[in-house]
Amino acid sequence: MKTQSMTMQQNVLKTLMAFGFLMTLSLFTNTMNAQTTGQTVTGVVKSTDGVVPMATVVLKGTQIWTSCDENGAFIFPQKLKENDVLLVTSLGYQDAEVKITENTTFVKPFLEDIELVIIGALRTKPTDKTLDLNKK
Amino acid sequence: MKNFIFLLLFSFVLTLQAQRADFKEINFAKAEYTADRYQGEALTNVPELVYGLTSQLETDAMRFRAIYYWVTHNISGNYDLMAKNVRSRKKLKNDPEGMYQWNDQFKKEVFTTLLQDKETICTGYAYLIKVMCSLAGIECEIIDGYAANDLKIKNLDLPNHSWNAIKLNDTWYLCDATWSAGYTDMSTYLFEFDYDNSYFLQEPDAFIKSHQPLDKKWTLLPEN
Repeated sequence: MKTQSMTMQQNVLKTLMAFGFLMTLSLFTNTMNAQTTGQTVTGVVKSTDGVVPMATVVLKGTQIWTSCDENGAFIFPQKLKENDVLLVTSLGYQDAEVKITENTTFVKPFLEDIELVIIGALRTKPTDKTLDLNKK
Repeated sequence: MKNFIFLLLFSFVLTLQAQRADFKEINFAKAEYTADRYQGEALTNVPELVYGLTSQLETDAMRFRAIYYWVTHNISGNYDLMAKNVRSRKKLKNDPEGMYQWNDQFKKEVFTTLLQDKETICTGYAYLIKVMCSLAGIECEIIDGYAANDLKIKNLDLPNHSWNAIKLNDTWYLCDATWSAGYTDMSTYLFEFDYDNSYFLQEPDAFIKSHQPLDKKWTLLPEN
């Protein structure tokens, strides 16, 4: 009886160990995948006025992103593969998308200007706390 | 289901007069709390900011509340920019080519200031609200027109203000982030944050007293 329960325990332990080993392996292969497939992509974002500093470059459909430096240049933090799409946004410009192909290592996203007439009147008085009953 | 019927009933009654009271039953505290967590955040990554502000909220009204609350508590008015623009636009009133060139160049300055200093004038507020809404999947328009505190609008021959219309639950609403955010102290020309909730989804018949859109349909009043 005692020996039997021992074997059972050992079996459970063995299964657990095998499972753990598989998990570790799969973790490892995942990391390997992320690092080995695809290529590092760099780029410079421009508009009609030249480089666009501080634009945001997002891998479409993810939360992986980077910001351009003052010269509009960026190095994307993750290796990219064919058919990945980089979405480039900056306030005051239309968004641009760049599709990554098999050999892409350098991209030059071009941001079109938006049509916007700038006008502005600022409030010059504090809110009248006694009059507005709607205010929180 | 009960909520749905309630909503359906109300959507009929209130299509004519869209107002903030439509959302009285919604608790905005969670949206404001989310906005507070991002207080001081830079504008260098607007998509990520909007994701952070809205992804945990359940309805468009709450998502819009978080965006509006964040913008009005983080973006300052810039008096110098406004004064400069008003001067130039007055001077170039009868020179369309000059006006176009001025706007083109000034636009860049406005967006650089917004991005780097989080300061702007009303079109900047309205534009930022629109960009953030579109990232959150909320329909939003920039409305240009005339605005004044007690609407002595006769003296204004050029549009002087921009604000927003937002579509929530298939109904358009009006708001003015510029005037909600705060005011410029005219003795120092410095901006003071002074949140005014009355311009958030204000009733169209109250809104028209201070805001006249160039395009009458954006008064959202039944007769237009």
